[in-house]
Amino acid sequence: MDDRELLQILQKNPENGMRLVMKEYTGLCYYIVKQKLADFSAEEIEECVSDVFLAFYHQYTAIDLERGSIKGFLAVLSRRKAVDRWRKLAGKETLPLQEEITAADTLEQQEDRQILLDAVRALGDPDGKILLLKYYFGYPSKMIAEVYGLQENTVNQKIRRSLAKVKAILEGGVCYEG
Amino acid sequence: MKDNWEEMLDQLEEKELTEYLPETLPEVDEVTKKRIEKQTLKKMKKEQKHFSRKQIAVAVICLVAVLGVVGREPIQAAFERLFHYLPGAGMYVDEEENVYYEAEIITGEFTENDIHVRLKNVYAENHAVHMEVEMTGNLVELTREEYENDSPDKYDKLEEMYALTMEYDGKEHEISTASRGVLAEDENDTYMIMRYRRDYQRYVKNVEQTYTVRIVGLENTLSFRLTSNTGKEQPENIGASQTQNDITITAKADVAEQGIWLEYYILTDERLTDFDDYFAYRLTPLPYGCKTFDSITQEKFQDMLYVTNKDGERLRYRGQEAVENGRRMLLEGTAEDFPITFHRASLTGVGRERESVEIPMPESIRSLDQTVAFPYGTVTFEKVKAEKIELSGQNAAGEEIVAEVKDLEITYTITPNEGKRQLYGVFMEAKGSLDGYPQQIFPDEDGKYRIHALVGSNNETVTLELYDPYYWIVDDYDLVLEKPESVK
Repeated sequence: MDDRELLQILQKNPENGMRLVMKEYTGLCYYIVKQKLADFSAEEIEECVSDVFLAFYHQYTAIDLERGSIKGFLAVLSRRKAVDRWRKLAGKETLPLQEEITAADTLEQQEDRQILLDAVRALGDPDGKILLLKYYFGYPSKMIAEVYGLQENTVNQKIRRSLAKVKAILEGGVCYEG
Repeated sequence: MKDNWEEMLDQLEEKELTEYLPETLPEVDEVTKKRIEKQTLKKMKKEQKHFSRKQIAVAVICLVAVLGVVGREPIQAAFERLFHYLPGAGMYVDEEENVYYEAEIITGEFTENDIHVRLKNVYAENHAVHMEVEMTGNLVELTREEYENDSPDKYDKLEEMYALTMEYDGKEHEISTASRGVLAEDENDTYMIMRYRRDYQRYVKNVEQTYTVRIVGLENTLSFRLTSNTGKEQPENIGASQTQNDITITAKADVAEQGIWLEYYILTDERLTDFDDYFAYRLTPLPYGCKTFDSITQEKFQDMLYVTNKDGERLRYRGQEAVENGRRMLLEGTAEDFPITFHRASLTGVGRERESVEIPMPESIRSLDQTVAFPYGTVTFEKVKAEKIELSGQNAAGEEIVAEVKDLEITYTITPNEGKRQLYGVFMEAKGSLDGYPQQIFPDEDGKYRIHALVGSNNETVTLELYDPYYWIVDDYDLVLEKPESVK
């Protein structure tokens, strides 16, 4: 079922549509949230994932399939919701999700992200993707190893090296292959 | 540094993530998945209950408005007989003594000021001229208050900006819409209306003439000519056609710049979920053999309807629109792809039967042995469980009250008949229930269905109404379209 069909079902029958969305994407959202809330209980993670889907239910009409996808929308929503909950649980100041998503994106933040993305791109393929699978999407190394047909320890080694390179670039240093 | 780098990751936006989105999605165990699903649906239902009173009020207002405009009789008539006019094809099967008019579109669409205007579904039945006008583009930006569902402001504003007139009988006429709809994009605190669709029905004494449609603020016009259609062509002649189980599916295709436009029509006396908005909003037809969402695979869903080219490759679906008794689909492809094959798997029909069954109210749990037979299968009630709970809230006078009710769980199974029509669900309503609303129910892992209802604790029995039984019509249709009807 493609995104367009899924959105049509959501519009016609939201409850059934949401069941299908959850059937397809619970794993994706769960691992993203878990990556951020690793220090908290399984109940907190599940509660947060269900909040992600509820927020999706409120906001899915904003998805523009010409520019994005349900998968991408849910991924960002999961990360933002997890950050929000982490702040709450860690007793840090928090903003409501909607405010946070729509808060002005400062030029400085945009530049930071661009530097980060350039650094990840500089790792080449598949190392950049592996790094984000680990640190954004929360995939366990074993799962990444299966996706790329690599040994688990090879994946871990790649992640360690990639992280060091990205940090070096972000700190303004020059990184050499070696 | 690690914290900073992770904080930067937190800020990534959807477009920046696109190239890193994983193709292989991870799975979590079924128990966790079910718990999350249950929690989410519970939260959704809690919100639905909160809004239900407002929605009922809106629905009542809409119904009154519709009855006021159209009158009771035409609505009833439209539901009771099959309307076989086929606007896309300009053909019809007239089972009564009605006069139909075919539209010759002179100017069917234009783009002006980045707004695309399109004329759709133009035809006339006796003296009633029907048409639909759709505008797409950045039409108007509204505040949240103006956009709210029950706010008339959005339509007032749209009508003010894009009022429509129709010229016929040598005069310009202001006409008001019979129904309308908008599609909006949420832009934080505002909404941008991206599509505005209006249906019109107008009584015209001399139907056979040319009509010009004007929209305020736009210089271009739409126009069409209506001529009496005296031919009584059978829909089977439109293109490829296949009849089985008293259901005819017929299809034709045209090649245009955007791709292949494929129209298909399903002609039957049965009620089908496909084209009936009433069911489309509460019943999701499942692929044959799938009774639960968990049993639907992507492949099974995609196998319900697809089109293949001469090499057997599936043509990519790009969009669709509704036409009378059918659909018009846009597919990626060219004349080179012909012959193409339109495939439609088992349809879902909805019976008109309505049955009721009296269920005894137990103190805690009780076995049942009651059956309700439909022409497509049997519903067997096995068990009823009751739990006393207290509900608190305010009465009409605003006083806090507490009421004791019973939370019922009724377990039943469905046994489909053998043959071409096989029952896989039925809507149920417990009479006098405090929380019921029509809902498609799916079986649990043990294959049994469970319906819940809150009822007064003093009742000795509860009457369960069973209605709109839905069933698979077990046959696949394959229509080969040798060549396009037209190529632009």
